[in-house]
Amino acid sequence: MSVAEWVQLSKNDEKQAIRYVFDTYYPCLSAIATRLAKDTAQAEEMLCYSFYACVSKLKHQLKSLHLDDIFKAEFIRGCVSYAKGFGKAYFVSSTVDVCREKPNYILSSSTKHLTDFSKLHPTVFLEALRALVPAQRMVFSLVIAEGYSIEQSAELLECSIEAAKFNLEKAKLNFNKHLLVLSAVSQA
Amino acid sequence: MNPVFKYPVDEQMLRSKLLETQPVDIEQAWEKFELYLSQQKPLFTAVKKNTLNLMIHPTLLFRVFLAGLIVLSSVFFYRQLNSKFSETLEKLHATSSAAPLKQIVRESPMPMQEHQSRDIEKHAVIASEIGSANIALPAPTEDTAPKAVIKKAQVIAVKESSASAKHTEVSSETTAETVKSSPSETIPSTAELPEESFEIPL
Repeated sequence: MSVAEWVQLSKNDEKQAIRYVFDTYYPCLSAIATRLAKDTAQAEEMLCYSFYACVSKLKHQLKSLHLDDIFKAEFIRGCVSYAKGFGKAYFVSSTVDVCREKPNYILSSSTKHLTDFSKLHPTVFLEALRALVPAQRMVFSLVIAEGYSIEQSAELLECSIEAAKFNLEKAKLNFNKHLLVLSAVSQA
Repeated sequence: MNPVFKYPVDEQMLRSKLLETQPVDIEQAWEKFELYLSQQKPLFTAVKKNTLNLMIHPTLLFRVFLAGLIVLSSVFFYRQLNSKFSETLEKLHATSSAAPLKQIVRESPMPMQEHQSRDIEKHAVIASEIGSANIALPAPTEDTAPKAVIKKAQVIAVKESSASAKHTEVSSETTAETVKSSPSETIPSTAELPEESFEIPL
């Protein structure tokens, strides 16, 4: 469905039009929100906020475009603005204490038997991702999962390219640490 | 900073693992979103506002407002200045020139009467030029022209006619009678005039 057709549908029956978009794009958008949020509750809030922003922006978009072309991009933009809306301090330096209770000695000992990450369940990856600082989590999700370039991520996150690169490297390192710890715990 | 991890994670595998979607309950999620939507302002009213804004162009609205402001302000100032001018003129009239003007009005004769007497004299002159002394003069009413003025005009008309008739004999008695009838007016007749006045200088 094109945007023009959807706008016409929304003029006739607004609720039906929103429901149509929700049913079509919810699985994809829900996964994006889950990757960008720190927990399930925040993911739900982020989904509602970003989906509403996305639908309200659709009426001002170019009507020749298809819904698929703009919906995902607008939703991710909404998610980023939601995360940045908490404040700069939260966005940069907030930590999620997922691994505090887990022993850290695993990393220092022999961990060869833990390096086969392909056998891990996807929820472990998700948990390791959620353990990152918001700024690192955002850039990591955008570049690794969504396929954005560093320049595009920097523009979206309103930071310099250097800062985006730095955060991405730090995110990779921290993610690996978290993943290693979590995999050790899960195997134990 | 060059972070090097001992056991790097393959990015392709990581991406595939992260993109694995878990089963979701759409109905439950829709209920939550409906609750969120009810707390927000409706989307369709925003569109209506936009269309209303488009119907009246903001620049046009601004121009009309500006023009109205200029016209109203100019009218207001014009009226205010006009009232001020009239007030000042009335004050000046009342203070400085009101008393002498009243005196002048009291002393001066009635302007309408004077005007009518001049008209009568003109009529008499025209009649003398034509040659008929007995031209019918307009009958003035008592209110407008005094009798003395009328008689004076008649006398002048007679004199002129006699002069134009080239020494035609006109009885001096009639003129004298007319003169006598108005004692206040002392206009000398042709008989009473000195002879020297008729002598033609050589």
